[in-house]
Amino acid sequence: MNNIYDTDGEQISLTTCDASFIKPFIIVDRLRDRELKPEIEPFSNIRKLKEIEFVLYSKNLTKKKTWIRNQKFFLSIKPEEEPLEKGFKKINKLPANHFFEIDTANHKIRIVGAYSHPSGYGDWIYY
Amino acid sequence: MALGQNLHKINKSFMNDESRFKKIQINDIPIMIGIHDEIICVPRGEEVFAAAIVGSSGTGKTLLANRFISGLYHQWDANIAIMNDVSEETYKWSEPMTNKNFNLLNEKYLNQLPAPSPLVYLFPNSKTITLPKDFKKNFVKTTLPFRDIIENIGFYLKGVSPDFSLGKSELYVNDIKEDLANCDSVSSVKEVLEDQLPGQEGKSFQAMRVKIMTAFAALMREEILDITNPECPAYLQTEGDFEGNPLSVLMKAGWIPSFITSDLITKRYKSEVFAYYINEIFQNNLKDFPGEKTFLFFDELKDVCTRDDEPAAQSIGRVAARGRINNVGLIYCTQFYDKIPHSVRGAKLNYCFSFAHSNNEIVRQIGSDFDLDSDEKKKIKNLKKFEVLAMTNNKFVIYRDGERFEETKPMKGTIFPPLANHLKRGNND
Repeated sequence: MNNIYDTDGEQISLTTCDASFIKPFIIVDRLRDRELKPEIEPFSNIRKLKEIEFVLYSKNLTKKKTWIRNQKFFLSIKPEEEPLEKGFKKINKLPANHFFEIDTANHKIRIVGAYSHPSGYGDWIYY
Repeated sequence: MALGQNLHKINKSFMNDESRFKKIQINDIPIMIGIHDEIICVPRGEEVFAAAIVGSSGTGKTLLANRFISGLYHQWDANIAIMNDVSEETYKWSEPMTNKNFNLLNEKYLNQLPAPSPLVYLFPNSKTITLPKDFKKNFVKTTLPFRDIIENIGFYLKGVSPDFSLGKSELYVNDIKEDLANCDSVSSVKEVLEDQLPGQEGKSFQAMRVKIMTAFAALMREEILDITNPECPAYLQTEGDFEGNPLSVLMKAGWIPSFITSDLITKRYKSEVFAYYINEIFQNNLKDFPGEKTFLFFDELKDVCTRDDEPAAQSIGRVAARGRINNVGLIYCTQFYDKIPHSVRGAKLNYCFSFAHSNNEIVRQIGSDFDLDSDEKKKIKNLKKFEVLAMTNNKFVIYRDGERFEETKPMKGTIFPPLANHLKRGNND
């Protein structure tokens, strides 16, 4: 830091600031990829979903937006803390032929079944 | 980490800690932690940007501004001028953060320790301002340059007395401008006026003389023209002979000037004073700071300007619209997004960080500026303290699991607290 003077050449006294700033950085473990090999467990008990503070929602769909025959709604899961969005309804029962997949190594979860996504697999959501 | 080193000692083919753990330096400015624990940053780019920090009182706006400013200064080597500290909040910013929870969070995610920002406080010269008792911070008292006021007499006079105009009498002032500009005291100004204005003797020109003398008396009374106090320089110099307005000189010397405006904000001519400093920095940035970025920060923009016809609004509008050309960026905080003059808000924002807001009109306007859908607008209303919805017309950079990628969608997260200290107001905002 340069010294400061007024226009008469008189120095203006300033106390130098301690430059203790550390630029932000992260440390990545190169072995972590191996540790992150997915460990997927399927489950259908909704109580287990609540244990990791997730909620199962359904949302009604217009006929135009459905992807299978006779479909009326789609299913999704979200962290409990996220606000309830318009049109979404909390449900406590998983429809038949649906289950959850939890990847315990990578801390993520998704819903699997016909009403979760056109592919049958909902998006992974981190917990 | 010792295990890796021990294994390496036993057999050189085993991986040691240096090759196992990779350090990734973050050159982008970390803003918040996303809902998946990712680090969300404003990317380091070639150009300056315009950003708004919006939210109700006590939600975390100035905390985010505090962190943003230290990041711009330390990580990007940008010049920063804090253009209006109305509530004298920045006094704390020149100290390291003392909140243990905040420090733990910064260390855990970013390996950063508390660090002060190098602030120098700039007080406008005024008899009504009172410095805090035993004020031990770096500070400078300053006034506007006399020559600038004389050369733009009509402009400043309008600020002092909005209904008063010199009219045709300004022509007579123009004739003696050079002599007035060379004055070094209030009494010498009076002498020049009395000696050189026509009508010294006799009745002709008396009305014009009275009008001009009254105008100057108004300026003197408001102290805007105090040229007699040597402790209040209009210009400063650095060691390298750089001379200019105090804000630019302090930035040139590596400091962050913080303009304390708690007193100025009550003055009638405040808009002209803001306009002077903004214009000086904006117009001279390419010459004063070649190849460097400069950012102007305004806390609560509504305290600086509310109407398009105010000089400060026009100056800030110029920075918002054409700052990129002159390498001058703009960051402002506001509770009243809907009250920002059109000349400022009309220019495209690159980033908007919205804290919780319950005002429907403000949420609607933010939504319209950043194409938010109804769910995203609802999110703004439901944000908790320190939570923010970040929007961009550019992009964000995300660090997750050691990878860096870009995102253009609105992102929700919790702000990183500042490394410099912050004034506690019972709710940490």
